[in-house]
Amino acid sequence: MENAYGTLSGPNITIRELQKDKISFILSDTDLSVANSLRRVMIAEVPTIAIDMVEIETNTTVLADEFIAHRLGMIPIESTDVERIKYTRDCTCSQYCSECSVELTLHVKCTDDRTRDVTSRELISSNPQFQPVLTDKNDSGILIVKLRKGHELSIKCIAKKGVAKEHAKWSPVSGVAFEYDPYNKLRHTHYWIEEDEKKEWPLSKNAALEAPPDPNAPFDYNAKPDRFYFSSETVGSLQPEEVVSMAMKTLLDKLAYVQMQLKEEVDMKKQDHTSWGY
Amino acid sequence: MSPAKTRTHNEDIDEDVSSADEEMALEGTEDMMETEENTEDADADAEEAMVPADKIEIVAGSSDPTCMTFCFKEEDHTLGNSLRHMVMKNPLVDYCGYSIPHPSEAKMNVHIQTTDATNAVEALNKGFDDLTDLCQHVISKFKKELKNGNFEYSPEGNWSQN
Repeated sequence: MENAYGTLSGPNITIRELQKDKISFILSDTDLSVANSLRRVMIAEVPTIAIDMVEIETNTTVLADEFIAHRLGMIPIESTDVERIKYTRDCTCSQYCSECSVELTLHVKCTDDRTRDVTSRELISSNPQFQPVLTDKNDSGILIVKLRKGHELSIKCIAKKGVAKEHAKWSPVSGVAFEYDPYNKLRHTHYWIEEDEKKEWPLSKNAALEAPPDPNAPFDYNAKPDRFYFSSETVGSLQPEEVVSMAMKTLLDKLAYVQMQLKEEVDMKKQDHTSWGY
Repeated sequence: MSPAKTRTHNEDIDEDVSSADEEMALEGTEDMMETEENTEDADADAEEAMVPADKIEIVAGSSDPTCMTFCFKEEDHTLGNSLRHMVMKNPLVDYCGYSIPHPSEAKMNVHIQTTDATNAVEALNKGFDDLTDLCQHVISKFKKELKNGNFEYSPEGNWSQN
């Protein structure tokens, strides 16, 4: 019976590839629902830091205030230490403070005759742990706006902790590729074809990791997917392996919280209806 | 010149949170009032509609402990589907299903029907425990893989030569 819960042998993870901004791994011996939960949490529930509020002191550039604010929001910020930052809603401060936010300032004025590019490199962070992401020393940063002679931009940005459920700018990944059953043995996919399925739908490279099915084998209607090929690219705010482990931790935290709430609700009901059988 | 404040995006959710906080404060005062005197029913109803609901609610009408529906607020398929799967694995459970009745309401219902050997709350708790164990198992497997693996990029932030 232990085995039925997956505690004895349990699911397996094999990491196939780990790069600076990419991870690909196989999650096996578990259910589609569990694998899909991991995928969903990686995309939408891993907390990161992103610019959320912008105070514009001077903006004489060609872009409107809200246009620049939106561009700033999308800039990835190194979030390895997000756990040290609180959500503003859980913080005791009235608006925002150093415990629940990071301040980034930018002040650029163009005095040359040449076009001046303002990039994410020019954002000065109040907290060295939370800097705009740069891939290496030669990275020129992310272009925010271009200035002509006389244009000036002076702003203060408040970066906050958040999750991509609220806004995609907080997502640590640009995408998660998720595949199972590359040969479509389970017939979960219905291919639209012109003439020949094999020609028009080439196998994915994950198919190389599975044995090709016998074309004469009868359809196994009891079969269930149990190998899930994940492949994910980060935006740079978190390392790829951090995204996966933080996703699992987020899931655990959620479970613990909901279970605690369940206990409270049940205790409350018990007081209300002592007639219940337990 | 006073600085103009601009949000980077539309802020529906934050507004909800702040109004929920106000309601929380209201609830507190209402509780105090109730100890002093009975508020009228109509008032109580109006207050109840404003009070932020619990995370989990046992849906009314389930007086049978082996057959209950739980309503989870602010949860979705992420929790629902995997929880459903874990509860269904329990041999003492006859049926478990989940649904999100309406896309614009952040609610998720889980229905559990068990045999007489247990009850729905126990089955749900067991589901949570099992799913927690599973997640912990996956984390430890993942950490082991990271330690043993020989990757182009090592997680400590050092790049191998290439």
